This record gives sequence, C-alpha cells and structure tokens, in this order.
Amino acid sequence: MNHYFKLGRWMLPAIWILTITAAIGQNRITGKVTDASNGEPLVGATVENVATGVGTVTDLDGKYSIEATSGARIRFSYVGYTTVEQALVSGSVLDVALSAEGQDLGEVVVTALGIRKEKKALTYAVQTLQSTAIVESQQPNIVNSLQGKVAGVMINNSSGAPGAASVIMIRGGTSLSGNNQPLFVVDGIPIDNSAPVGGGVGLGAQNTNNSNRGIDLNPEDIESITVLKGPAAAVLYGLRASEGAIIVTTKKGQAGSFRITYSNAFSRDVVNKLPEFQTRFKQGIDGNFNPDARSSWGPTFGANETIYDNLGNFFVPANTQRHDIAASGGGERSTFYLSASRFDQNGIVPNTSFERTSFRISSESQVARNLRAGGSVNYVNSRNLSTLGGSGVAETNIIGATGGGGGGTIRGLYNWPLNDDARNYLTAGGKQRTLLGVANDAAFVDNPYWSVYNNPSTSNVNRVISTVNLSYDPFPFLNITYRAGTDFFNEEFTSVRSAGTVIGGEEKGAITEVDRFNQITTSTLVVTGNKSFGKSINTSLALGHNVESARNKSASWYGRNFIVPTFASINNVLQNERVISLGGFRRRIVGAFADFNADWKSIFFINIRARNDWSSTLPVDNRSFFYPSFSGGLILTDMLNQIGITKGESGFIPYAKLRASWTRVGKDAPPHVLGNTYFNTTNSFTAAPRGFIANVYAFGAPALRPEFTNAFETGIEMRLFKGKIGIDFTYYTMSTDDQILFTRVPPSSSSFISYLNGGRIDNEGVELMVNATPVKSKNFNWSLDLNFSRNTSTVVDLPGTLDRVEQSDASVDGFVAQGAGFLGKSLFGINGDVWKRNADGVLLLNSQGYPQISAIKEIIGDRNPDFIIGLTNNFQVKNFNLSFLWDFRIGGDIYNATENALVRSGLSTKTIDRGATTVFDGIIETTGERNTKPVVLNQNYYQLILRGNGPMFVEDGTWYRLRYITLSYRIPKSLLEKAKIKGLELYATGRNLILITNYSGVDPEVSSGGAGVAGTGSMGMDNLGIPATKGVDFGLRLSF
Amino acid sequence: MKRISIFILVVAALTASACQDFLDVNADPNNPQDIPLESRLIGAITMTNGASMWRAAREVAAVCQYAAAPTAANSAETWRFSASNFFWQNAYTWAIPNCVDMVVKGKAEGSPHFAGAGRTLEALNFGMLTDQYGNIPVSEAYDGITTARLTPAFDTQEEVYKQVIAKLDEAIALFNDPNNAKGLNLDNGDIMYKGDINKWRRFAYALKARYLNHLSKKKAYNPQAIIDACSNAFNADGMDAEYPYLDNASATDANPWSDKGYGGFTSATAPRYFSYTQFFVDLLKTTPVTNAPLLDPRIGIIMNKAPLDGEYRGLIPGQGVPGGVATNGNRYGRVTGGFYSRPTSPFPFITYSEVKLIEAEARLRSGDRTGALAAYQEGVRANMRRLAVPAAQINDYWNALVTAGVQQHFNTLNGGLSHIMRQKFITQVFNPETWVDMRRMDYSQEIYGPSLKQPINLNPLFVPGEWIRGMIMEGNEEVRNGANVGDNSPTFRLKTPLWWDTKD
Repeated sequence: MNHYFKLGRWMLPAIWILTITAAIGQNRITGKVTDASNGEPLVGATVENVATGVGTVTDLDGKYSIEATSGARIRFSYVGYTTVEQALVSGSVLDVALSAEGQDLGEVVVTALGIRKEKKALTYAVQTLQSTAIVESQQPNIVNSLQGKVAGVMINNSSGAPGAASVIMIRGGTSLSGNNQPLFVVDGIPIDNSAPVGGGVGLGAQNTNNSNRGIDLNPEDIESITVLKGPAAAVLYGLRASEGAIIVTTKKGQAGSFRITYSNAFSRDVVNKLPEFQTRFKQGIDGNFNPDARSSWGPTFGANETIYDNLGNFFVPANTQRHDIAASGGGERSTFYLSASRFDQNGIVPNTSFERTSFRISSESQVARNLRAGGSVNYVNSRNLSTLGGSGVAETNIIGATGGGGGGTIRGLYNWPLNDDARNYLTAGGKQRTLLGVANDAAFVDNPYWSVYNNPSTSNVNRVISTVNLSYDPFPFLNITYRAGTDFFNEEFTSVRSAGTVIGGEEKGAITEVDRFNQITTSTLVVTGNKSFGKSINTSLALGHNVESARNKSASWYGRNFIVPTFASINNVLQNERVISLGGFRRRIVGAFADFNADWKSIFFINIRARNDWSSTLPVDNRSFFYPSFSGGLILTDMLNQIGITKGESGFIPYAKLRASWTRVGKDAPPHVLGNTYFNTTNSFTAAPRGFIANVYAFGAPALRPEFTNAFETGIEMRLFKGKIGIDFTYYTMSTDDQILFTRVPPSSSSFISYLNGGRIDNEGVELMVNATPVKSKNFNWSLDLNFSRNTSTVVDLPGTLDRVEQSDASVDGFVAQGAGFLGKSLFGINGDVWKRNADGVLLLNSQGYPQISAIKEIIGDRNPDFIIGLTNNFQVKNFNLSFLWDFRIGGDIYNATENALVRSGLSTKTIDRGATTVFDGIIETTGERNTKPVVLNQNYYQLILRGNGPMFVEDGTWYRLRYITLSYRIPKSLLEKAKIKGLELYATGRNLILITNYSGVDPEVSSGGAGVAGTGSMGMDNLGIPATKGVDFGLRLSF
Repeated sequence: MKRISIFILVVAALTASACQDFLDVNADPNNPQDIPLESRLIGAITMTNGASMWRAAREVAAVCQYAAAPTAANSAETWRFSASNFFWQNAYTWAIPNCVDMVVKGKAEGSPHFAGAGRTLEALNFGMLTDQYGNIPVSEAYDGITTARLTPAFDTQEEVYKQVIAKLDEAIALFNDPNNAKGLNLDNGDIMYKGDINKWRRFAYALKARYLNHLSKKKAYNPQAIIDACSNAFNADGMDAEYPYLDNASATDANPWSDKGYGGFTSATAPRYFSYTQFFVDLLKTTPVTNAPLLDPRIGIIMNKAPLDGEYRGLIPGQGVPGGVATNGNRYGRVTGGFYSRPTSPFPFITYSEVKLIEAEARLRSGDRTGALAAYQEGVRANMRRLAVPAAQINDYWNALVTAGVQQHFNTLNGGLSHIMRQKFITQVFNPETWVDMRRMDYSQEIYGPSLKQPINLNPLFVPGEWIRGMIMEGNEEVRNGANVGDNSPTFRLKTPLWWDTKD
C-alpha cells in the first residue's frame, strides 16, 4: 500500500499546481467546412469547442463561427464523414475539409479511457470501424461484426444457434488457463462480455448454447468500435486489458439537427453445411437388424427400402426481423439520443430463438461555460430459447443417478438410423417414440423432434448499463474528466427435461436452473494538462485514478422426478430430490496512472505511460504492482521535408510513419484462489462426504504473484500514389512469464488442479492492413480493405515436469480429445487419444492383432491457423453501393468429434468398410513379433478401437468464405424532399453464401464450448454443435 | 444520493486506510476456508472408506476372485490393467488431505485425539496405496502446510512401511494424550465410534498388527510385535472399524456394492459384478486342507441362491455367464443383496475377526500352535457372530472343522495358513487386504484349494502359473510426474513383486 499512499499524496497537489498556472484568452474563430473529395460546402456540420463543449453548426455556405481560446481543439463532425479535431495554432480562421468515413489521416480515434487522439499521433496499433461497417454485416452479436475487418482479431462462433456465443481473441492467447478475451468498454465504462462455462448442475457450456454477454449491445446504437490490439494500446486499462480492448463508442445527438431514423431487416436463414452419412447399413447390432437399436450397425439396406434424410429433414428455414428506431438532436447547449430496438430471431432448429429488446437514452449538456455533463442509460432484455446441445446432460451424480445422463438433440440426430423416420416422434398414446436401445448401444438419446419441444433451455437476461460523465475545464490548458458507470444484469437460466425423456436418471423429468447476477461498477478520474514549449513542442500529461468493483453471484439448483409430470418446476419435486448451490465472487481493483505525450512539430511523437494497480485478488504483500509503457512515432515524410531532403508532399509516398513501443502489463489472479477451500461435493465415483472435505478441484496458492506480459511492437504506416493506397504493417512479440496457472497437477500432490505461478507463452505475429481507393470519381467509387494477420503462440515453459496444460472444459464427446497447450509447441494444441506405438512409430498391437489405445493422450493437431485474411470491397455507383467481405482462414486443425460420435453410431462414412478383414502393420506388443494375424473390422473395432485413433479425426480447417455481400440503394434526395424525408436507403444482404472448405463436417468455424472456456478455449473443437447458417436479409433505413 | 455515493467512492478510494478495507474482499463468500475439526472427521472417514478403499477394492475384488462380471474377458478379471485405474487419485485427493488436515489442526488447537484419528486414517490410506503400487510418495505428499508440490518424490516401500508404522505409533500416543480440548464426537462426526477413544486406539493397534504382519517374507518379520499389537487391538465384538451406509438417501450414501449404491450395480444387463465366483462358493462349501464338503452357514447370508434352482453357484473369472445373461443368468445368484452388498451394509476397514486371524498367523509362525488355534477359533466365531449365525450353527461348524482335522492341520505351517487364509478371505469380503494375503501366499492352491485357478481369457502378458503382483499407476501421475513414476508398463508393474512380496 505504500506506493499507493505516495501517489495519492502527490497527485492532488500536482493538480493544484497545474491549476494556478492558468492563462486565459478567449477568441472568436471562423472558418468553412467542406467535403474533401470535391470541395463542396458541408451544410449543417457540427463544430464544437472540445474544451468548453460549446457547439454550433455550419450554415448553407458551410461557414461557422465559434468562441475558442487560441490553441483550443475544435471538433468537426458530419454524418457519414470522419470526425476531425484540429487545434488553431495562430490567427482566427480554421478551414477544414472532411472526408468520407475511414479514409482520412485527420481521423480521431478514441483510445483508452476515452482519450481522443489524432490517428497520426498514435504510437501503437489500433483499428477503428465506423457504424456502417458494423451494421452492414447484419450480425446481432457485435463480436461477429468484427469478423474479417480487423487484422489480428480471430473470432469463432460456438454454433449456429440463435444467440450463440462468439469467441474473440486478439493476437492469439497469452494465457494457458486464464481468460484470453479482450476487455469490452462502452463509452469509457468496462462492461461484461463473459459467457458462462457451465449451465448449472449437469450441464456444460456446450449443452446450453450460452451467449457471450456482448450480444446485449445493439449494433445500431454504435457509432464506432476501436480495437486496441496490444498491451501498448490498452495499458491504461491496466490488468483487465492485457488481452487488448474493444472500445465501443455509442451514437450521440448532433447539435442543431433533429433527426429520426428507422431501420429494419427481414432475414431468412438455412443450414449451410452438414456432414455426410453412410447410407449402406441400417439399424442394428453386429450386422443384425434390431428395431430397438440406436445405432446403424445392422445389415445393408434393401433395394426398395426408404433411406430417410433425418438430418436434413430436421432443420427448418429460420426467419428473423429487426426494427430499430432512434431520435437524436440538440440545441447549442444540449444534445440527446434515444433509441428503441427489437430483434427477433428464430433458429434453424425448431423451437429455438433469440430475442432482444433494448432502449437507450443518452444526453450531453453544457451546464456551464466550462462544465459539460452527460449520461446514458441502456436497458436490454435478451431472451434465448435453445435446445440441449453437445453430449447432453452429464451423469447427474449429486442425487446419484449412475450410468445416467445423455440426451443432446444433435447427438440424437447423429445416432438415428436412416431406415427409421425420426419425424414420427409420438406414439399413438402421445408419448415419446424413441429407440429403446440394446446392449452395447450408443448412449441415451431422446428423439430429437421430441427433444426440441420437451427439453428446452431458456435464458432471460435483464441488463442495465448506465454511465455519467463530467468534463470540467477550469483553464484552457486543463481538463478534469470524471466518469462513473455501472453494468449489471440478472440472468435466469432454465433447462427442462420433460417427463418421458430417456436421459438416464431423469425419466420422470428434471430441471436445472441458474440465477446469475453480475455487476461491474467503475469510477475514473482523469486530469489532463497541455503545455506547449515554443511553436515546436507540445506536451500533455494526464494523471488518472480508477476504481473498479465487480460482483457476481449465482445460485443454481437441480431437481428431478416431477410429482405432476406435466409441470416443470423445482417446487414440483420432493425435497430429497433437490440440490442447490451458491457461487460467486467479488473483485476490486484500484489503479493510478499517468499518460505523458509530447510531440515535436507533429513530426515526432513520444508517449510514456505507467500504471499501478492494487488488486483484491492477490496476497496483501503482492497486491500492488507497477508497469510502464514507452512508445514513439515518427512521420518520416514530414521529417524529410523538415530537414530539407524532400520538398513538399511526394505524389508517390505522401505519408509515411514509423512507430515502435515497448510495454509491460500486469495481470492479477482470479478471485478467491489464495487459500484452499472446502466443499461437500460428491464426485460420482466416490461416496457422499456427509460433511466438509478439501476441495480437490482447486488447490489454493497463498503466495501468488501478478503475472506480467512484456510486449514489443513496431509498425509502419504509409500512403502511396497520392493517398490512393494506405498500408499499415505491424510486427509484434509478446512474452507472458510466470503465469498465474490453474493447471492439472499429479494426484499425489493431493489435488487435481492447482493455482500456481509458472509457465511462459510467447506470441509473435504480423498484421497488415491495406486500404485502397483504385477508383474515385463523382459517380463511381471503388475502395477495398485488406486485413492480413498471422500469429503463433508457443508454450515456452511449464512448471514442474508438466508437458501440457489441458482445457478440460473443451473436452469432447467420449473424452477422446480436448484442447491443450503443449510444452515447446502450440498453445492451441489438440490433446487426443492415439493408438499405441513404439519409439519408432510402429503400432503396438494386442495379442489378437488389433491396435490398442494408448493410456496417455498426445498432441495430435494445432488449432491455430497459419493466417487469416479479410478482404472488403466497396463499390459505389451513383446511389448504389455494393459491399462484400471475403474471409479466409488458412490452416488450423479441427478435431472432428462429431465424426467420432458418428463412428460410434455407425453412421460415419469411415465405417463403410465394416466386415472387411485386414492385417494391421505393426508388432504384437507382448511377443515383439511382426503381426501376421488377420482381424475383422467389426462393430467392436470401430466403436472401441478406431475412435481412439485421434489423428484420423483431425482435419485441416482451411476455409474461404464470402462472409457477406450487401447491396444498398439510396433513394435520390430529390424524390424525398416532398415527403420531408431526409434519407431512405434500401438494402439486401447475403451472409455466408459461399463457403469453400475441404473440412468434412459442419462449417469449420466451430468452438463447441462457447466463449466461457478459458485458455485457448474450445476453438476448433467440432463437437455435436448446431450447424452454422447462411442467409439473406432485406431491409431499409429511413431518416426524417 | 448518487452524487454523494460517487463522492464517497472517490474519497474512499483515495484514502489509503480505507483502500485497504476496500480491497479486502478476497474471502470466498460461499465456500469456507476454515472448517472446525469436529466437522472434518466425518469426511475423513467417509472418504477413506467410500473413495479410497472402495476404489482400492473395486477392480481388486476381481483379481481376488470374489466376484465376476457377466461378460467374458472382463479386463479386471483377466488382469488387463491400464493406467486408468483410479484408486491412486481417490486416495491422494479425496481422502488423504482430510486426514492430514486433522493432524495439523488437531495439534495446533490442542485436540490430539483428532490428530490421532487423522494419523490413523492417513496411515491406512498410505498402507492400502503401497500394498497395490509399491513405492509411493509419502514424505513429499500433502502435509497440510505447503502448497501443491508439482513432482512429489517417491519413497521406497520399505521406507513407506516405516512411516506407516510410525504414523500409527504417533496416533496411539496422541490418543493417549490426556490433554484433549475437543472430543471426537463433538459434532456427531465420529460415525464409527461416537467418540470412544479406547476403540480408536484399538483401531490403530489393529492396523499396526496388519501392516507388521505383511512383512512375513522379510527378515524384519517379528511375530511378537504383531502379537503385542493384537493384544492392544480389538478384543471383543462391536469394535470393528466400520459404519453403516444409508438407505433411501442419495446413491452415494448407499453401500457401493449394493444395487442402490453408485458402484455400478444398477445396470440390469451389465452390472460391474454379476455373481460371486465359483472359487468363493467352493471356499464356503469345503473344508481347508482336505477340501471335503462342508457347507458354511454364512453362505446364505453372504450369497444369494440361483433363482433357477436354489443352488449356490459361481462364475469362472474371465468367462462371463456361459451362454449369456439372457439365457443362463438365472443359474447364478446376484452379488447384490447379501450381507456385504445391501444399501446399509458396512464396508469394514478392519475387524475384530481379522485381528484374531492375524494373531493366529503370527502365533503359528512363532511356533505357538495352541495359541494360534485359539486365536483362529475366536476369529472364525467372531465373524459368524457378526453375521448373526445362530450359536448352535457356529458350534456345529466348529465341531465339523475339528472333525475334519483342524487341530492336526495346525501342526504344519501351510496347513494352519490354509485355514487362516481361507477364513480371512471369507471374513474380509471385498477388502483389498485379501489381495495382500493372496500375494503373500503366492496364490498357493495348497493354501486356497484347487478352485483357485488363473482366469479364463487371461491377459497374454502372463504365462501359465504366473500371477499378478502389483498394480499399474494412474496415467495422470505418469503424465505429470513421470520421472518419479518410472517404468509404468503393464509388464513391469503387473508382474514385478512388491518389496514385501520378495523373500529376504
């Protein structure tokens, strides 16, 4: 606490010293705002004194007049154009030319903690998307709207279910077992983007189709998203931003213009890719037909027998509609923005949906000449209706079903023999018609048609994100900004398994419910002073203080055996058939930071930043930790001009900038892990403890130290050919050492998993962004954006003799594989079953001549792609605009656990050679002799031996996809004037219409466990998920 | 109000002392980080029994040929063990920390009786572990003070045995400490002895006798020390280290060998064990040494008759039900529902009967034939009383044994051992201790009778006449602590005799 005490002591006096050295001088500034492309005046553009907040609008000639002190920054903004901030250095006239969005170097970027910076002055990699780029992809989840648009960002859907979670990782992963998801910030307030790992008793993430909570944000409310890619950019956010940050700025009202906008979308989606089944063999066991069998190990189909397309029949076209209405405007002193939104999406699986209703109000006022106040409230209700995913309910052991569990709608489909029409899901008596199963059969599954209506999961989230901010300029060179906000939500999750299910132990019905409350409250104070030394050197120093308090509480309960079979409620089970448990955490962080900027003639920039954090999750002695960042930028072209090597702007390279940074950023521990805890949990294979016992799943570590990431980044930005081509290239390395690991330990240490410091991950990568405007004329514009990135994450060191760190939550059906980071190899490895081999790789066979499954899993693949490319093209012909995004992911393995499950059920095309005889090339382990014994490839071989041949289920996940294509038409203004309509745009979008891949399963963009899985998560694990979709959208945007 | 609270938040955050409090929120509100001793004892007992000993016994019951599965070539019955046998983790993670914590906390808080109970159960866990695996981590295992050790070193079995005996001696000393703050049954946690420290002390002595007796192949074998331990161990009925499981609670509260437990008996088509073996049936139908017919009155208490014809019939290990369960299942009585396999059946750690049979062996080996015979008779009778065999039937059975020549049989070591070991087998149903005895006796047919045969469909690693000697270690240990585990191949682990199993 000593550091903190000292900082606190000198921070306040420093503010006062800055305050009393004030100088005052107010001028009137005039000027003209024009369109940079054609020099035409922009009418009604907003002009605002950044320091005082006083605003005005340009007149019919594009002219304005505003009060400002010399040196004050003026902000110019106009809808559809990039906002520019400029300082008046001398004189009283400031003319500005605005460019259409995303084109200009004068662009202002919102960086960490709401600090706005000219892009030119940035000394680290950031990338900003404007609202049109966000909404044109027609994605309800803002995480997905970034797909292919930001270099270095990798996004994976967990499934094609409505409201399914998406996983986002920036520059790979730095953490073996912790969170690798970036921080989400809305209007300066960190918000929750978590996704639950589990769905309550008996349910994992892959069973519940949980959302990542970023889905609650309405994309239509968003003005821009800035991605702070590395620790250098995000360091001021402190330990929460070691994985980068997504900075969301919402739409605000514009002074002097009142506007109502309405937009809508109507969509239709279908399944985009399904695995192939074998159609030669029908229902049965060991080659014999059996009408009760759940699997297809029977005889061949007869010539006239019907083969039902149970899989294809199951999915239905899904309809979605969206309506957004917003009103915004303001006078000279106040602006406001109001919006209401309704999103209503159905899934391709019957009886699945995602609905979102949101309201948002934000307002800003000039309370006094030098005081500006604002605030916003956003209410969201998100409802998700989904079906039981993955392998279904885990063996529900707390009340003690054994050999139970099962279900899983999609698994049901992958089990169903093709000679039986699964659509007949009711018996004459109205009960479920399903397959009873026989000995050695596939696991318990309900008829999927019955399951979707009778085993639903629902999630209902009510959320409020609220912010207030104050900006006070006691003197022109000094700004004090205070911002506070809270983000809280309550989620009610319910999973019902209706009476009549065949899920083991739940035949009389069961219910799992989770009630989750989550809140993050933040307070940030930033004091910024500016000072120029002569005409060449400008400096600014910001000192800040930040408090963040997070609280989470979740109650979950489970009950089974409904008394009244038709009523699903926990009250409808006997007392001794219920279990309940409570979880949650509290975490508090206090931070103090400084941000020093200096530039010389806007040619050479340096930026020094530092932060000290105090975290509640670390031991008191290690609670405080400090980390700095140094970065610099040099505008090469201006420099060459300055020293006289070149004269004026070059046509070939008008602009070139070099930048480099070194940053260290710290990270604290998860809450409540310093000591051992006790529980009275029962593992299904042990007795009920009848009292408290040591928690075997989490061994505490009383002396944890914060972990640090050291990052180096350098880049070059250039504009070529009169600015027609822009290039931004970044190279980075990151090393995260002495990690706070939550890792598997040998059982002899008396725990399964323990927290400890150790291990090192190195990341290295490149990012290239190219934007070009090959054609730009009055009636035809063509622009394109290319994003290329490549990242490798290597596990350099692990504690003890560990050779891997497993991600158990990313374990797949049958536990045949899971994600894992391997020592000396990829962080994104696949840890899977393999056949036993000797040191030379020769198969070690059993005495009968069959391969044997090794007791130890091995690395069988690397899920990390070689590189990712996103290419957006935009064509504008008069009032037509055509935009499309090609999204390529090259390399990266996928573990096809779905195919593995199909091998068990006998529907896999890999089982087509059944009955054949072969001699495996290997040696008999017990005798050491070369094998000569022929063996039959029977059901037993496929189900028990082939499934353990992990490499057979690892496939290349390369894809090329047309992520979206959207055509819009802006009705000419002349036609709208009479109707007093300001603008009307019609559009049509196609999503995922083209997908080229060699992957044999569903859409290779898979991540079975959702976003909640720590470490590298379940990316690349294809495990009985709901397949992805393709679709079209039609809609309009109207403003008046 | 909001402005005030923001103001307070800022001021609070800026004040160093307030900041300290503000950050002190790292105690988990839902999971305790400190549990009083009296609430720990029950967990230490249940986990040592239902987690550790159950998993020590689950597959070993097949190796000992107590019972067999309905399907052929069951891997445990045919000694096809791989690194996925999880007794190791159940003992080390679920059981041992709860024992050790009681030792550390009991000593710190001036409650030596809790420390003694912890040490006793800890010694039992390490004893069961070493008897299956040989060398195991003890010195560097969980000590209740340091954080997780990533690569615990292994102690040799000779060293482990010294430590197990030392732990039991320490436990006895702790039970003898008169300055005890908290009684063992303060929170009704002593489900075994209700706080009777005399029984706990005798329990520790009983274990000491057992582990000393394991050294029968070693020069260090000291019959007198065993007899001394036995004399301080259980000396009457009603002292067995056992507690009843519960019926009508959750499955994990019921005896795992029952059809309401969690042990894998609920499946109608493929229960873990379907029926007792023919070997076990024969032990209950014949006399030791002579193998003459003699129906043990306990047979109907332990076993069920075949539904088909009311006969007692057993399976051959590795063979499954000949012709399948559907056809011939009714020819065999089911495992579940007997004395040891009902929901509320106890699953004893060690019994008075075992103590007497240990004493019998020690006396026999020391040449005290009469004492051995007396201890043997009491061991047999005690078990029959425990199983509620009527006194007349007990006398009849003993008289039949006398007629069959038991007194003469005790004139030779193997004759006496045949009686003792066969009775130990019958009185220690499912206890992994039986496997120790069988290895000490080298699976001798002279001891166990002609029905003890190698299983059908035996793992081809074994040649005729070769028997399983140890257990393969768990894969989780091999992967994460491989250098210390060493060779974990089935050939090495399953076939290499443990230290006490080799003659000095």
